[in-house]
Amino acid sequence: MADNSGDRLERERLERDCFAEAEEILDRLIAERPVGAGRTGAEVGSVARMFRDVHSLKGLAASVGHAEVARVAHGVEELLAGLRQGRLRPEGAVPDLLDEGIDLLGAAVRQARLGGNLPEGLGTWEGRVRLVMAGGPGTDGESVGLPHLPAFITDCLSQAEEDLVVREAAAGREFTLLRVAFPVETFDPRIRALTEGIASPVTLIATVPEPPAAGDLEADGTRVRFCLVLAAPPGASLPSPEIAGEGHRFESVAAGRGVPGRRAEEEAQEVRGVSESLRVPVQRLDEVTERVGELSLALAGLRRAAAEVHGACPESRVLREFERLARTLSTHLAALQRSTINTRLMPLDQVLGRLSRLVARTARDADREVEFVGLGGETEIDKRVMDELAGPLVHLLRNAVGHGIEPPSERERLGKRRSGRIEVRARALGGQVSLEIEDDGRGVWPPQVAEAAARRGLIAPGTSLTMEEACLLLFVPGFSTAGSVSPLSGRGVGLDAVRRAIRQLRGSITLRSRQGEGTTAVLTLPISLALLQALIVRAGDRRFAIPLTSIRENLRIDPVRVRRQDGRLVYDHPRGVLPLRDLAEFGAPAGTNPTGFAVVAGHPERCVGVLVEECLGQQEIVLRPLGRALSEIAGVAGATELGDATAVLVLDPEGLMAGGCHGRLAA
Amino acid sequence: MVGLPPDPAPTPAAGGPWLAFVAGGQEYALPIDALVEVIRYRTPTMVPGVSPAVEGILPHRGRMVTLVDLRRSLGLTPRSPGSGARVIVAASGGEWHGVVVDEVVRVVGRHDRILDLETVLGAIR
Repeated sequence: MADNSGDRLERERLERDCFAEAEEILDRLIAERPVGAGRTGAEVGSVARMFRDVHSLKGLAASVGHAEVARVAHGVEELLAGLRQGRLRPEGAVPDLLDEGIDLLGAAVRQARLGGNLPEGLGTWEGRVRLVMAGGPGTDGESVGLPHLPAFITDCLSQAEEDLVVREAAAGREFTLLRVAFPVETFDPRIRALTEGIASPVTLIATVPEPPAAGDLEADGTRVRFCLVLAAPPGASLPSPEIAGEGHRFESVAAGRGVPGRRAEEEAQEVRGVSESLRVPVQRLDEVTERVGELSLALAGLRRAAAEVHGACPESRVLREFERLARTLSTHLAALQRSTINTRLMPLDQVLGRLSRLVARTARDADREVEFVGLGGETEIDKRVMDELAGPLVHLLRNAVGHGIEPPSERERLGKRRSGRIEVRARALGGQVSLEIEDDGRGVWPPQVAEAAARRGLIAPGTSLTMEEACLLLFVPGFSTAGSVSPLSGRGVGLDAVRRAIRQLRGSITLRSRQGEGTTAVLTLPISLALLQALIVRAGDRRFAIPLTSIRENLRIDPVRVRRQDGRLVYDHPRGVLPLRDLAEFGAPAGTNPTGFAVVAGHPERCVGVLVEECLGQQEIVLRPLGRALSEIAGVAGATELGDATAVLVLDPEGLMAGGCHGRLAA
Repeated sequence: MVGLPPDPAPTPAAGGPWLAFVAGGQEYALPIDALVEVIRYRTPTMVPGVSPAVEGILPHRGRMVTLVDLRRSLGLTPRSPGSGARVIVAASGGEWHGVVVDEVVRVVGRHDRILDLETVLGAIR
């Protein structure tokens, strides 16, 4: 049950999504803008794409109540529709109008996000769009130079007045502002006298009350200020000073193409972008990371050299000082490395927003009623983890909607709420992010799973399964309980694919379910793929890194408890039989008579003891991916480098469990 | 040293220059445009279960470079240990590979035995 604060949070989340999406659409529009400086005309495909983008932006804005954004989007959409249907040609004023429209759209989005005034020139722009759409002036030939009127005027102009501005401008008239100030007691007749005195060829476009300027001496309420917008052919005589009264001022208005009257501050704001963030190509971040890596290497080299010198003259004060400085430098470098990796983190918000739309769409297609709740959107995760996570999440949510949540009528029959609920919860847990996807649907039915598993020969027919066993079986490759292929049952990938994808991110996934009450998928993912805490171990003359997150226990080997079972080394652990793995395939000595330690890694249900001779310590490492040719090695997550210019393999205990180097996840 | 180029398109055989080097007593050449730099050979970390042409991995400039022994990928006799080999670091498909050769000769405008980087690396894929 959502209370008021829930509603507010939901609305804030929607708004954030809306802005994130709006920003993306704007970026695309600016990039696609087919009629920039070249004015070569729009290609059809790009117009169609822009049309779709603007259309969805309009819907998005309307759905969260940003009428101004929707209004501008509508105008741009009109132009694009005209272009698409051939009613307009990408020439004359149209390219300008489109350009300006996209600028205005950006301004409107910024205004909606940051507050402030409506984008200037919106009124006149809309007027010109209407004229162009109606085949008025500016449809062909040169575009019209419009006066740059101040915002307080354009904000007040009616549609008819805006159209008049455009017509007068098209006719080559010059614009003048006549600013007057009259005493409160007499302003009415004096304004009337002034406006009545204006005659052809001068046209009065509007009379607009002028807001008192800050610090204005006359803002004492004794005088009222007005601004008259006049259009006249060049050289025509304007109203006489006597009528205009004391303190009047004529100001000519500059004309030009483009959105009129933008202040430098606004331009700066536009350049600054809507959000307080910066879009940087990931490659550039990689370059920085790379440089930092080189610096660490260089420092390690220096320290080695210093150590050699130290051997020769152990008493040197200079060397002691050097070592102190090197330590400081090393600390700073580590911090710098962490910062560069942190720059890749992004809040999960955006993903949650997309998931919410996905759920809505999927539910519609499947005739389900589903309420989506996303929590913990501020949780940060590496950009790449986030990107790679999209596939598995989509799959899990489609499952939840298609196979989890029952149709509304069935739910009512079962005494459940008519609309189902899917909740995605994210939170940070140390160096990891936990994501839970919970639905209140059917849940897993162990008998059904048992039947399907028996049909595939995975278990003996008639076996009964516990819920835990059923949940584990669902991850077996090729396993699917869905009888038919519905549009929702994914695209031929099952939970095994989801698990594989999650594993590649060095994460894990488990299912929890209660029959008839719902299912929860629990995903644990590293916050960053690049940086992790690891235990450095030695086996023979080789060092290895084991991610701390997968280590359950560090066991000192009691040789008495080591034995062979089915040709494999196992350890009689107090809690059960623990399979042991030596690192012989990785160049370490084979563990016939293991001594030292077994690093126990894996899940509570499934562990492996990796035999090592020595634990060298725990440290933060930067995980580097291996080349594609080496990426499929089971048991190896990547490599790192500990400051001595040699590569150290980072082990992946999940892979080690799956059967070693040659086993590659036996199907 | 050449800066990191974008992923190299298959280079037309006519386009030079080439970097000439020796492997197993025979001179060969690789197109220079995909090459990052030439470094001194260091013993790489062996990786299990991969093609025998892969010598292992070597950290270099914050990346893991996969070392490919050119002698083995060409089916020549193995290098004798301790010989001062060179590694030609080349970018391909967004990754860095190191082609281990006996010695680097010079940059040439034409050559009779031009190797295609993709073919050399194809041996390990």
